[in-house]
Amino acid sequence: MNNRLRVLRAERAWSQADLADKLEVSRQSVNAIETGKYDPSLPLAFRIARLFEKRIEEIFDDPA
Amino acid sequence: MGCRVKSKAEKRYLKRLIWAMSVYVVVVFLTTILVRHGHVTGWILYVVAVAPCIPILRLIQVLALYVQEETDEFQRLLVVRSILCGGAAMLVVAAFSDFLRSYTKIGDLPPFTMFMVFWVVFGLAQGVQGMMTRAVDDE
Repeated sequence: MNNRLRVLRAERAWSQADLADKLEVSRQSVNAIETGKYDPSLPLAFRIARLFEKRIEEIFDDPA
Repeated sequence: MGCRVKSKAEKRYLKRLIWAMSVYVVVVFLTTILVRHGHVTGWILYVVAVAPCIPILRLIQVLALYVQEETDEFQRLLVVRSILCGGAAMLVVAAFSDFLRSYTKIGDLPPFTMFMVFWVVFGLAQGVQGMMTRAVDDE
């Protein structure tokens, strides 16, 4: 699944560590999501969407 | 895993793991001494012989508690994968050993092999996954 997490984070000048703190996950998790190695669960996707004040589909894109 | 910041659940897990491992080592040591030099016989021998299983049960509980308490779902996934790798390796070694013992005269493994296989493969899986998912510095 593609996502715009890195772009959205860069727009706010947040580091991966900043985002990890805000989401209460590890930096390793943020990195894995950004690089597409891990697709977050629905609850975490909602948390990410709420943090960036966007809808889930504006952040995550299923190419299928 | 390097200098990654550990979650509260992970800190609790490491503390419990170190304690349980230490207890296991002590119990195995005491059991060996008692069985070899304590002249233990009868049903007491059986009780003493299986005593090291108690800290092993605690180790399994420590892993289960970590999976239950870890709120970071990605970290949880990595540990569950490692547990599966350790379990699979243990099962493969057990199957090879059992079939060899059943159909040939070889295949007897030294005591505690399974325990070692699980933890070595569990640790390796943790290390490999840690390297594969290491966060690159983007600061």
